[in-house]
Amino acid sequence: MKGGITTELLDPEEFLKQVKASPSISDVDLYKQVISDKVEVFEGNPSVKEKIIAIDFGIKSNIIKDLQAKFNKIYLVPFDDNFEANIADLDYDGVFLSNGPGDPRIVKGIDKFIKQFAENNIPLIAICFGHQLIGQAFGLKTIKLPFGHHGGNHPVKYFDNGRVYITAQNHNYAISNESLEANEDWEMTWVNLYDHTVEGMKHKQLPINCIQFHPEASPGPREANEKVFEDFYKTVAKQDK
Amino acid sequence: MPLRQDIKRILVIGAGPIVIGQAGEFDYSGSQAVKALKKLGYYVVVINSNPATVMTDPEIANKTYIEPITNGIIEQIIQRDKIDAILPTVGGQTALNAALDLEKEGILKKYNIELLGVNIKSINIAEGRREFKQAMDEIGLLSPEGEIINTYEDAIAFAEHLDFPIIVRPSYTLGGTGGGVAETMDEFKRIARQGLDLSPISEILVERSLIGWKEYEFEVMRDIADNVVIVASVENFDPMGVHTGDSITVAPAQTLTDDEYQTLRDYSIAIIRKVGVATGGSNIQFGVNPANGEVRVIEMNPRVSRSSALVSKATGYPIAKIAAQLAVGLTLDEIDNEITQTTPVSFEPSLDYIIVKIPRWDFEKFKVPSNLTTQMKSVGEVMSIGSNFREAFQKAFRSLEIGVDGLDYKGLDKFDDEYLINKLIVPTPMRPFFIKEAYKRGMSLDEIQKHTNIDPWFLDNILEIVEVEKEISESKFEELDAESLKSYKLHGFSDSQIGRLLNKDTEVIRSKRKELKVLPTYKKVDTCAAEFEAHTPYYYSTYMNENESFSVDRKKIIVLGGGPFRIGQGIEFDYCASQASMILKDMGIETIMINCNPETVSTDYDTSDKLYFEPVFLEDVMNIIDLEKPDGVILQLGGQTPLKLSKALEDAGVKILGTSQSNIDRAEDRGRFMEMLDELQIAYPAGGTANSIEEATKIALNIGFPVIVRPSYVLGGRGMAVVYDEVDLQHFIIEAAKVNEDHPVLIDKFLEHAYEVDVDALGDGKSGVIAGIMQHIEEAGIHSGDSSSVLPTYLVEPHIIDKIRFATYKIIEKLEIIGFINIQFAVYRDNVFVIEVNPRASRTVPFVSKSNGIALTKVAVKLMLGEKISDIKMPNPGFMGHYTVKCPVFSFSKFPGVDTVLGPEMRSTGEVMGISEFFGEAYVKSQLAAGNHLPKSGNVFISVNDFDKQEVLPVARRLIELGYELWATLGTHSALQVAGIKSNLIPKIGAGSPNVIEKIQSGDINLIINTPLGRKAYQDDLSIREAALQKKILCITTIPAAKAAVDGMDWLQKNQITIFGPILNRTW
Repeated sequence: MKGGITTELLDPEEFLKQVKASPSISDVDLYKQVISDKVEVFEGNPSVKEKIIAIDFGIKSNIIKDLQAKFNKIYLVPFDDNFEANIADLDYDGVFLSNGPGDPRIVKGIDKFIKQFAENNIPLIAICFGHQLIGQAFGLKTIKLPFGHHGGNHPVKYFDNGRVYITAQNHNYAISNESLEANEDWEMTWVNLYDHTVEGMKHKQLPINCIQFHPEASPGPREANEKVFEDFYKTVAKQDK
Repeated sequence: MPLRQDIKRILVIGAGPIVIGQAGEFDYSGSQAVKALKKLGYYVVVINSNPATVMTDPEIANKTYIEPITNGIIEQIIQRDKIDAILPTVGGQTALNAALDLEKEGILKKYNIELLGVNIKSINIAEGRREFKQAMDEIGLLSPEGEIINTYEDAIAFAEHLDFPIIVRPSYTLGGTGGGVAETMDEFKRIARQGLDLSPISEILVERSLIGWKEYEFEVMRDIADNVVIVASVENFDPMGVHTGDSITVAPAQTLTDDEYQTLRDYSIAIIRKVGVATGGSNIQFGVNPANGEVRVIEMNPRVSRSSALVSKATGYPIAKIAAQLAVGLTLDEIDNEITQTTPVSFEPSLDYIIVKIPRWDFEKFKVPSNLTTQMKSVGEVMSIGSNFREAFQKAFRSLEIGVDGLDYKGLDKFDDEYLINKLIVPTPMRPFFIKEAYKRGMSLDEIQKHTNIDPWFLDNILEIVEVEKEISESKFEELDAESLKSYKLHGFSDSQIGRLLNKDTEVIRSKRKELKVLPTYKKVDTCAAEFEAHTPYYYSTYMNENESFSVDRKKIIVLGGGPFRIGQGIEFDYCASQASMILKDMGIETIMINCNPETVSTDYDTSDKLYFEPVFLEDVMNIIDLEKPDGVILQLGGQTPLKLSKALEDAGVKILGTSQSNIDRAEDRGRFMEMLDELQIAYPAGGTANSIEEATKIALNIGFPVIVRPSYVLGGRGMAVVYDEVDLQHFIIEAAKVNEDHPVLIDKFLEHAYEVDVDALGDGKSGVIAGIMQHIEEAGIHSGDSSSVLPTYLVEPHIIDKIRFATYKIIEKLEIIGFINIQFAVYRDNVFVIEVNPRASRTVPFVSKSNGIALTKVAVKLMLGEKISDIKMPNPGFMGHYTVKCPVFSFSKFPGVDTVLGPEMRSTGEVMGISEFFGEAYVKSQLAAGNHLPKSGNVFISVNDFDKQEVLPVARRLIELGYELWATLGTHSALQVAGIKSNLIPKIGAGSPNVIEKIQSGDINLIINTPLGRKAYQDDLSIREAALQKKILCITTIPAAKAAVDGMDWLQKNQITIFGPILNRTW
């Protein structure tokens, strides 16, 4: 069902027409409109050796900055028709799936790559959209939230230390709690204290660790930043003998 | 974490008397904390010396003591009530200091008492200058560069490393006298030398001045699990250099980028962790250099503060309540947000509106310049909420009760440009008005910014107000349409402002506005910007599209609050208004509160069924009445502010509960009032109204000197005076009163050495009941609010009391009083004179209520709803077997150069109560609680005027008997000598050394009795009182007060102070 909010057009009939005429968010691959068409390389932290691929679905530049602080090199690869060719010759220790706009359920072709990486024991980390894509690839369900999360004041709890972090969030979709609970391979790592939405999860056997909210902030509070990116690094580095 | 089960009985320490810098906000935080702890199942005991508080209402805690907040008293409570823990973080600096004292004396350890919400180490880090600086260094944050210095050479050496301007603050001088800001090394040398000379311990603080920097405050909460949230950010309109309590502030911060905001947020979290506040709230202040973004941490308050009260009201996030819950082991994610009821308080409120706080000052009363500095001087504040800064800003001015209806002050065009620029540079309460005036004269934003250092964002908003004002004045009333009118309202213009600009009456604009359907919409303060459904009916007005407040079809009553605290209208009225709401709620009537003072319990969202955080201003009140259509409005409980609206409200057809408008007018209109007293054959002091000096002199000679003179029009500051001869009279009129036909002065016979009796009573429209008859310790002529008073009377003979009772009943019947009335009498040579009648709740209602254990407001509300006195089985308010003494508390130390002598103009900011079976002890307690030190032995300096030279003799004799040594200057010394009383002669200033001032400053004098010597010796007098204030020596300025003090000292020498039982709650 479509809905709209207006403070400008106050005639309900008129506004309803406008709302009905707009395309559904689930009909458009929004991320395709915001990704680059070439691979970019970002030099990162020289004191570590781990290199990662960051799959671009519309990455926020601050995520790149935060990854640079934790990893030696970041290959930013757009998820387009050349994706497979683009990563073929890259030397990497882990894969990051970025944030991005739109409905994760209509993204085509990503599942097989995620499965491939997992089978090869390549660590996977992700934020937001990427987190949902990973979940889907493993058979978890993505649902559209009754009330999307937008803003800079959402409390999430990190089960690892029991602490509450105030985070920036911007998502209409989320991994469903039921599907997560029903799946023995996955555990929830972060939960939203407003409505108990899954805000982070990890795989019990594989090196996969992903986050729904925006630890990179910009805008928003930065307090979960260190914790999340440190976890990301550990997820990748652990496999790295 | 689970709720603590190992503690059962908690003592909550209140903030004591209201003084500048520590006002009603701590009654709000204290009562919130007490209610929260009680609800969690703890046995809560309260100690507070301030009877005017809601917190000391016996229904709030399990047990309530109104006693001085001292180690000795607290130790007795600990023993008697088996206290396990103390919560010292909701009673301001007073409570925190009390906790430190208890620790220092080993009392906490002795009884194994835990401090909740704070630990001694954190207090020491936060409050210790060096400790705090070091802590900040350790986490890589900068604090202001400064050093405490004792020699001139060290000062120079230190200053060489600092950037100018440099600020010099001498230690232990009043209000920082002798300090200053140096722009150059030469200036610095001069100021440093002067500061070192003036400081009694040759000590100055030399600091790089951050004047002109942007100033921010962050309110932080932390729980035992180390979760931290920022409740809100506050930005100061006035840059650094003005105390944050004296600054106009807005929330949320308006001029920070996300990056800057997040940086300050990160710092705040790091600081609360470093200082180690384990649970509860803290307030952290930052200075930000607008030139380069450099951040300095100014200070941190490891407790609930004035700004946490403001932020609680601004966001709907009740900081004190949550702090109390955190203190007993709960964590933020375990506490529900009461507003949404579905989400936890471990979140950060988002605001879809802006709040503006403007302080309220009373400089006129202190007769000192109104410059705003780093010393806080405001006595109250208002908060307003709007959908943009301009709307909230103008609304805040409307709330202030300073005779303006927006950002609009008449008559500024008469000043020349030089004066105007000076007023932009030097901050005063008038600065916003001068900014507007500067724009009107064509000054640019950049120029104004250069003079004021105020952020361009604020200045641009003021410019917009100026532009819209121009647009209004250039438009025509006939062409006024809904769209433009709505835009004016959204810019905060009141109907009266618009009317003035269009040459129309306010009423015409109002009707037109209603006709065009430009009506306010009420929005909820909901902590979450409507992300979740809000269940608390806490509203503000704006002129947006959708109204969220709906009138419910049930019996409902509006209670008007008292607006900002100021001298004469303080927390007492918040107590009355809050009580009324709670009572009406209990009676099943919907209660609606209108008030704009964030430092109050009445504006707590759970005090009333509905809260409108709005100005107590006719337009705003009428808008709410139009929407709610209440069954009645109560306006006799909020002091003079709502009472002033009575005529306009009645004219608009609003039903006023209580005494009728015509009878209110009869009590307030001097002519009609005298007529009534004549008819009732009740005496009042002779007097008259004069339009010229000649007339004034004639009246004075006719009724005989001394006379009391006051201007008939109320314009603060012109004040009143008691004058003893023609010369003084003319002098006063020329200097102060500026009499003319528009501004007559009132001349009344001054009843010398009369004593004053204050009566609080209630009426049901026909008959009355007396609730309390209080006797003032100071004689008539000292403002009743500045007098100590005793309940019951202790020196008044029964036949005089009879006369007072008869007069009271006659007045109640004649005025058909419904609800409260307060009458002040002067008893002069066995005759009783009526001085004043207030047809409303008086300042003493909470004092009388707590002394007698009767909730008087409850009775008053019932009477206003039509019950009869004969039906209300109120307990007998007669002698209860104990004495209570109410003692005023002053904030003189904030005003360098102010004269502390008591007079007809009220200047006290707060009050305390002492209670005991013995009068002597009750008096001693009241003095102790007020911070007046009665010495048990030592030297007493006496200097009295000729009128008092005989009166002082018995006082002096008793002091000798009690073993004190007397010191006196020549005149008083001779008088004592003649009477055979031994005293040491001490030279006046300039008549030898050590003179009286030096003697006081050296700490040799323990008590001063100094009645004013009149105009000629004024400077000497003033120096004595100033020195006393500086050395914190009690300086008594009236003979009756000296007599009472001697009674107290006598008692103190022979007895230990013990707590009187808890405050009674006599139900019926």
